[in-house]
Amino acid sequence: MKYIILTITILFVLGSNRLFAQNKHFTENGTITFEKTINMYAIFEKQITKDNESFLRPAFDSYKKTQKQFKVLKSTMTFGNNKTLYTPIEPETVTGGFFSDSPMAGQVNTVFTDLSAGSVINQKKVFEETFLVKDSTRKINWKITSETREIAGYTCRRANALVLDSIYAVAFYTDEIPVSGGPELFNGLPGMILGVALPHENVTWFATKVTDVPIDEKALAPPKKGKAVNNKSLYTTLSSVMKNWGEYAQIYLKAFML
Amino acid sequence: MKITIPALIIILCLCTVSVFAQNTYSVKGSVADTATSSKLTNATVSVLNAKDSILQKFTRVKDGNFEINNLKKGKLILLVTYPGYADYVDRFTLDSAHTTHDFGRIKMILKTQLLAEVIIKAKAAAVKIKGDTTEFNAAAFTVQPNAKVEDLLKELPGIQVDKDGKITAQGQTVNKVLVDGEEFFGDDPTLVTKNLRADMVDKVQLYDKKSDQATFTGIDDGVKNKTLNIKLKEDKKNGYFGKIDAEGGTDKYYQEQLMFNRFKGKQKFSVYGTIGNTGKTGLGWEDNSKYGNSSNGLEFGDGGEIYFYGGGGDDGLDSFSGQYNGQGIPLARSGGAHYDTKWNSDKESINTNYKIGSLNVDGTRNTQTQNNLPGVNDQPGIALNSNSDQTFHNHMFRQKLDATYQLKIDTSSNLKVSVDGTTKSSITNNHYNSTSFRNDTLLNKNTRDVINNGDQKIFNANVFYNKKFKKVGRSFSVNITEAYNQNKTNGFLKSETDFFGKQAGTQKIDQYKTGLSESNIINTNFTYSEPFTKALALVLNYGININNGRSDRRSFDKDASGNYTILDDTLSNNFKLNQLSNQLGAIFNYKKKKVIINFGSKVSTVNFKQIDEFTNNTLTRNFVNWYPQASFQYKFSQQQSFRINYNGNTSQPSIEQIQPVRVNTDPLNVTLGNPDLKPSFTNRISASYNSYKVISGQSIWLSGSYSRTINPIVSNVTTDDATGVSTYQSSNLKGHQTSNMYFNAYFDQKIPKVEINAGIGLNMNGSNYFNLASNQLAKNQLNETKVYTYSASFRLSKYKQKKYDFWAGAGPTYTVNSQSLQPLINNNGSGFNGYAGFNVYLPAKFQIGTDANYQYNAATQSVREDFRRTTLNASITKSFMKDESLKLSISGNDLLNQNVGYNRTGSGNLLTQERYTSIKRYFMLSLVWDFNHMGGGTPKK
Repeated sequence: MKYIILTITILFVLGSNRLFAQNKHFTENGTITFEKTINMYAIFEKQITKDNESFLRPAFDSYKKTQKQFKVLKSTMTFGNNKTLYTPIEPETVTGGFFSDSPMAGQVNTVFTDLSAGSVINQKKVFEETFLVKDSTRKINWKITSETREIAGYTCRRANALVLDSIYAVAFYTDEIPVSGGPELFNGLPGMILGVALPHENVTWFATKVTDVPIDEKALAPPKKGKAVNNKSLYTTLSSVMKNWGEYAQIYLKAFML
Repeated sequence: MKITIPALIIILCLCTVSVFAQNTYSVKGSVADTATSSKLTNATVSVLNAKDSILQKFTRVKDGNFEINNLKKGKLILLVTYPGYADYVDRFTLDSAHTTHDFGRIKMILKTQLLAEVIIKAKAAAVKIKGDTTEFNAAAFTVQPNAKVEDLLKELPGIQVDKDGKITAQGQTVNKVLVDGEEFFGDDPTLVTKNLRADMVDKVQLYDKKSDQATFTGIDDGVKNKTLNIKLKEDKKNGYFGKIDAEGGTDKYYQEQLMFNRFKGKQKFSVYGTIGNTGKTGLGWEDNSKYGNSSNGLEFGDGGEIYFYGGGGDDGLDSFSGQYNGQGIPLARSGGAHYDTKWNSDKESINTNYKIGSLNVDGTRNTQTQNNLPGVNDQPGIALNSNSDQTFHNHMFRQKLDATYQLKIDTSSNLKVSVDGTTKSSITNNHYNSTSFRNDTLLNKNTRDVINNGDQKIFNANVFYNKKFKKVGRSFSVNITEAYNQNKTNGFLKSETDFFGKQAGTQKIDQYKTGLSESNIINTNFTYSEPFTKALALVLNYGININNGRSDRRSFDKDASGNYTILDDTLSNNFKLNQLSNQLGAIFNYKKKKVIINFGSKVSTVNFKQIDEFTNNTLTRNFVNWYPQASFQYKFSQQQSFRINYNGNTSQPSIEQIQPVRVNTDPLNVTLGNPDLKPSFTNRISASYNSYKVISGQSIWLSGSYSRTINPIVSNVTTDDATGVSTYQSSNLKGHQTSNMYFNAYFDQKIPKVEINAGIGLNMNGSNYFNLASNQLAKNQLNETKVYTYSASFRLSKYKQKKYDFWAGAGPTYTVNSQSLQPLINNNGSGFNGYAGFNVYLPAKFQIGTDANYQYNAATQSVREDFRRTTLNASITKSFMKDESLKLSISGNDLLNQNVGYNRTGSGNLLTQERYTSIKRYFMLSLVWDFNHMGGGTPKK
């Protein structure tokens, strides 16, 4: 019975596409596989200061000998009905700690975004605690450019912005997916964001695959577990925890608030 | 579905409008194909600010029409896009006169492919071609100061940059620009001001397929693209830093240090010298990493695991904290030089160190010993008590040279060669006075001088090669080590013992002793790791180990003419112990998600050949030794993990335990070797759990271990009740297993609001040993020694960055130290430890700090007096200069003058208490200047 309903739905969706879209097929629901790439060398090197270099510089040389420059983490995004659910995929093998446990080098957010309502439910893992951040979608002042590139078979247009007042972000969105979402908490462009780069944080997210499939409403269920907070109260909590962390506090705060 | 999305967006916009805006600015129009006039439903319509192209609002075309309301007034841009069509861009203005703009029918044009082929005439230029990579040397091209990277690229032959920043190389569009392997997106100067400047560039590489470099950088999307990689210059350091530390104090205490370090490009050169009598014997850890061997510290394994190397532990002079063991008054001099450099694109490096130092330690030590003797019919025997006063003057001089060469052969293989050589010479001069009693009856009195000169030579060499194969997890490595150690000693033993009671008389010893111990160890180990699946791998290893040892000990008595020429056979022996072993191992590693399991075993066959050169007796024995291991680790999260671990270990007897010779350096306590000793086998199980909750500031740490040794090597003692002379000999004990255990638990919690960390700790460690004791009354009576220590502590601490910090802790202890031969006269007793301290940063760059330690040990049945000690240190520091590089401080060490050396131990059938000379109260004025001058560096990215 379920099978039949599914078949009918597919037929209907296909049919409706034929009916309305005369020239171009627009992907309104489906899944996207993202890859987050982190330049570990650059992140490591930024932690080297005048005071710790006698110790960290040789450690960095050793790191470069055995570890890859880029760490790659996968995630999937399901979208449909103007809602998106972004879920990180746990890596098969967990690599050891130290610099690799810095939040910029991990994936802490499971993000449900209701673009129609302009609301976000973000399950954020901060050390041992799981927060459920409920807030409105992040308002980003995107600057549209004429530069384009192809990502996962879609032509994307570049837009630049400052996120959280200081983080320079480059995003690539496609107007072929008329859903204004994106990976993590990036959104607000006239189409799906298939690529984000934070050049000064040495992190990028790029889509590797887009699958055009109907999405069951159940597959777009927001995360439920976690301590309910909003962005402001989360910031207050974290900054009081990291009060005495010295220069590392800013690095961690930035990564956790992103 | 298609209808609802734009509708919702419009509704949403309208909702916002109704609240805030009174004058609503809007645009509308319709979009269609030029040729067919068909409606382009779902075309994207965006409104941007004309001045900075920031996106204001966007919508999708529905039924061919669009409408955007609630815009802000001003100069605006309309951007209409549709896949496959050229962008439509139009500028317009909205103001009070024009609140709405109707674009009418916008006609979109299909993209026409205009192939503007640019033909580049390649100029002959000094460029390097490496395989399919073209490399440009940035230094060969001149650009204006502060020129951008784009300006540099324009200068390079074959590369063109158009006004939009689009790069064409050798006629093809460059799809990707990388900076140090990472994609470069170019900054929007209106958003960020950081810029990649041309003078930061070292090399520009151009390659057009998935070459070695592309593979290495890890960026591979399967597309063969023209890619430009901009290699930045490394932070070049030219400059120097150093430290001068001058300290002078009361009671002739002083400490002087001078260190200097110079950088020149990739070369680092440093020298240091220290002298002092406050207990610092070298550089501390921090200074050692700055001025000493920079290979100390963190290293990373293939799986990202971290190894920490403290280094310098075997140097004899600069231990980890730079402290001697606290017994006696030291005078330490040390000096050293360090050089390291890298070349050939950092593929090769050399690191070399020279260290020289001397240490004099003078002091006295008082030792009280209770020796428990066996009784008849399992009744407690008697106890012998002795009291010994020792004066020591020890001197050591040492030099060490080491060098390490590393070569990165290619991206998958590495070679490391290291060698070091040490020479040590020492003079020890000890004078003893001792008396022994049996139940208040004087047994003997002894006066003894032991003078010894030693010359030691140590040489180590190591070659390590490893290769990683293409298949992830497959690797091969070879490790070859040679260690040579030679120690020559010669000295005099002068002893006079008066025996009282039944066998009254005097024993005089005047002997010259020589010793030569030599060992040469060659280890080879081949390791191969083969992954079966992503999670499961097998690590195979094979090794041949050769261990040749020799110990030649001789004692000479005086002849009639007063020369030491008469060899004492009972005290002399020349002995060789040659071991040849073959080791084979197979260990399985399983690693998936949160679980890590490994299990397997190593097995070695050992050929044990003992040669007594005096008697020509040869004894050859063969052993098969097993080393099984298994461990299970579960990582709940990055901050919480559990681990349980088993390993079995075989311990071979040492040459000192085997050599059949009497050692009479202490004529009242003689040791004798046992050539029949066999290996013992230990089973150990340990487990640990730790959890750290960062947000709530809670940490828990539990760990414990239990081990039992089968066929243990124990030290048996035969005591002559009449004279008090004891003879010790090791043997394997059958039927009993010795055991060791410990358990530690820590719980820490940050108390919110006051932000104080509070913690409790529980510790226990214990061991059960056995040995056999004999005297005139009983032979080989089993003695069980129990040593257990229990302690609990409570602590509080608070830290406020650059303001103050304080800490305090205290707790009781209880020690069980008893022996079955003498259960009533044991050394069981309670105690108490406490500590506290603080540091406060005061205005005008003043800082004060103090710390105190309190120790109490109650009297026991064996030791009739209790022990209390409080040590208190304090300092006041004033910093000068902007960067606080000059510091003047006054400090007081042991203000209460109570620091006496004290120690209680128990082993075999002995209970011992020691008191010794230690550094007590003094005041010190010190001036420390950290200077540095760094220049010529390249600005950071």
